[in-house]
Amino acid sequence: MIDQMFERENYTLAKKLMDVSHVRHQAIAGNLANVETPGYKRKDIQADFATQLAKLAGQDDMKGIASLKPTLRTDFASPAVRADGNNVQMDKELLEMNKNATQYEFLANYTANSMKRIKTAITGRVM
Amino acid sequence: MIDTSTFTASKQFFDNAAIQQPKPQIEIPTKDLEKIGNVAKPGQSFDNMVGNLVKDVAEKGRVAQVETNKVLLGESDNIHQSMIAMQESGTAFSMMVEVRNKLVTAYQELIKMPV
Amino acid sequence: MNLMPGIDTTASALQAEKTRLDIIGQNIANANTTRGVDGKPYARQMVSFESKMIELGKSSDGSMQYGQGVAIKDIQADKTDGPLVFNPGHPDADEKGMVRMPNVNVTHEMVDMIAASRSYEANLQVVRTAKQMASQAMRIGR
Repeated sequence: MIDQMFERENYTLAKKLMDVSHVRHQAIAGNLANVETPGYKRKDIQADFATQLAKLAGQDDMKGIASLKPTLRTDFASPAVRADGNNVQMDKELLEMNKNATQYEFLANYTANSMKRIKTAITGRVM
Repeated sequence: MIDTSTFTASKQFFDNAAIQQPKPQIEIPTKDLEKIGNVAKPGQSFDNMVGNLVKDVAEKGRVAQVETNKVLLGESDNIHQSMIAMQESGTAFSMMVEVRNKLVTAYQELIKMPV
Repeated sequence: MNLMPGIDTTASALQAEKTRLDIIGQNIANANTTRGVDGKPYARQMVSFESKMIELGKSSDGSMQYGQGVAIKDIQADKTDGPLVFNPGHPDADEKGMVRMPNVNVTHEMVDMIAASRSYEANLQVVRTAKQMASQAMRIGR
């Protein structure tokens, strides 16, 4: 009964995407730290994560979504910006970081609201 | 058997509250609601259901405790997981408390019934 | 207790950039030092960076997560000779009246300094964002 209460699709997706945002921020922090390191290649979340998540959501597989792991992959496809092979573009990374932070804020708000709604339904008092 | 009419009433209230979410332009999928509604399987006894409820709540509490412990000891920096786990465990616990309240009310009404 | 994501990585970057700025400042200050401690003109110091793996803490499945921070590999002196300047009255002038100046090009150092402080500023922005994310996560309970 309790598990079914928390296995709604949007809520599970929001929790998983918060994990992804968290990992992505660590990757971007590493990229910005190494903007001057010779030969460094930028890291990001694996490129097919969004499609995998969409497929699992389409199949209604909540446990599959909860067990999907975001991993960091080295991005060799970006063009090198310096002669030593470093491919970190500082402005692009800052932009991605801001996007990521806004996404995290949205997901935190959604999760908080979801929880409040469930509590209101349980106790009968408006939270 | 204990008359579970007030328990059913509280379950109904929960279903209705879940349905009254703000309606977007598109159809709200009802598959989530069916999943919540299907609590009792046919043939499952009442004390099995209550036992499962208590076990689930204890499990949620254990997960919350483990997550918070990892954050406190510096092993993990996933504070959002710890916060979510704490909230889920609190909500599950208050669900159990409400179920208990309704059961007690039902029992008291039963006692008042003239034989 | 590490509550902000990726903060150790950024801390290493801030430390490295600060050292680089210190070295640039030292170079600029010594742009005219014709006689250093060893009697020779000041040799420009160069900083080289390398990636360093930093332990960030365990993720949800128990495996250790690593961030790629940055560390100063070494600080080396630039061995190229500086320009020879004609200055017969100078105490360090040789028999032809030429003085060997340090190999510090102030314009070059200024450009380096701008790049280093841009990097530093970007990493400060990362710290601010991480703090903001952490306080957003704590609003879940409210």
